[in-house]
Amino acid sequence: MKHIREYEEQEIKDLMGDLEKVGQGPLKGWILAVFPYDVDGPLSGGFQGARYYAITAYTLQEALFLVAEANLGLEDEELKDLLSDVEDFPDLEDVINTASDHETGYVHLEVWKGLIPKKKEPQVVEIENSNPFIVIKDLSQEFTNVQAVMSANT
Amino acid sequence: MKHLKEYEEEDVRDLMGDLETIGHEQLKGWYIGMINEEGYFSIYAILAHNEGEVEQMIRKDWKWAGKNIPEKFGNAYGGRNNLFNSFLDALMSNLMRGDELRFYQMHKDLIVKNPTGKKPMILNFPGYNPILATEKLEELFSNIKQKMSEEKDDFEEESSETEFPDLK
Repeated sequence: MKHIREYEEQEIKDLMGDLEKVGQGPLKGWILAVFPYDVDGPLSGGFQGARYYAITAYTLQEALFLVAEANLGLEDEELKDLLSDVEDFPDLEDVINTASDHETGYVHLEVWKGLIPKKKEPQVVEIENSNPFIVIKDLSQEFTNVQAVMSANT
Repeated sequence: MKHLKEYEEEDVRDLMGDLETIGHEQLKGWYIGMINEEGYFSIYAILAHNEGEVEQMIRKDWKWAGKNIPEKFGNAYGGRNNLFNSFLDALMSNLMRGDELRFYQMHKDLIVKNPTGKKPMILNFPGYNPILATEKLEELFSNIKQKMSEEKDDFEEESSETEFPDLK
């Protein structure tokens, strides 16, 4: 096998494409904004503001799984079944609300793609804050290009 | 008399305070971030000379607040079971207790940038994109980042809820 430096640029791009197909591409980032609430009302306790998920994953399916897991606490096989028809983040709203018997409300607000993760492993970080200055500070701990992505996606 | 530029910042603030006492109030700012029952996150940036002007604008424009707009009792404003000496504190309390809102955050005493020529107004924009929200807020107010980086529960600490004697 040749050293990687000996490959042509197109060959390297093809190799990266093949790696992505088997889930070994570069880590990608998403920011998901949701509004979770207790259906019994704001005085029933628990955080009632906006929640942001800073998601680092190799694929969209992995990212969806991480968010569903953070919300539902089910076994992996149960989550995989639930997510079998889920294609993107907005679809999670119905899945999470139904799976929790609507005891917790989950409202999808917005998703941003194309973030460049600082972390080296797949993970999801939850940021519970409605103060936009604090949210930016916390999101910037997770991704290098928060400003560029969130300014562009209007 | 020295040129204004030659005064220390504290002297300028004292001068502004003195101007207010003789009726030359500067525009001030308020920030209210709120999340309603459906999860919609709105930010209201308010510019006004005083809270009386804020009250006038809200009574005129916030029809959606309905019966949560507080009644006035002398110098106080009616909450659901109590009185406040601030219109905004009473309003936000009513909206929360009336289940119109799930969450709110309010900041007062914001310094308006370049107030000359600006008029009292209430600006409203979505809050869930923090980059766009902070850009708009920093265009309006010079001390918003400092104020909001000192994270605290404003609706508890700045509330003007007061025990008043029974007015009946």
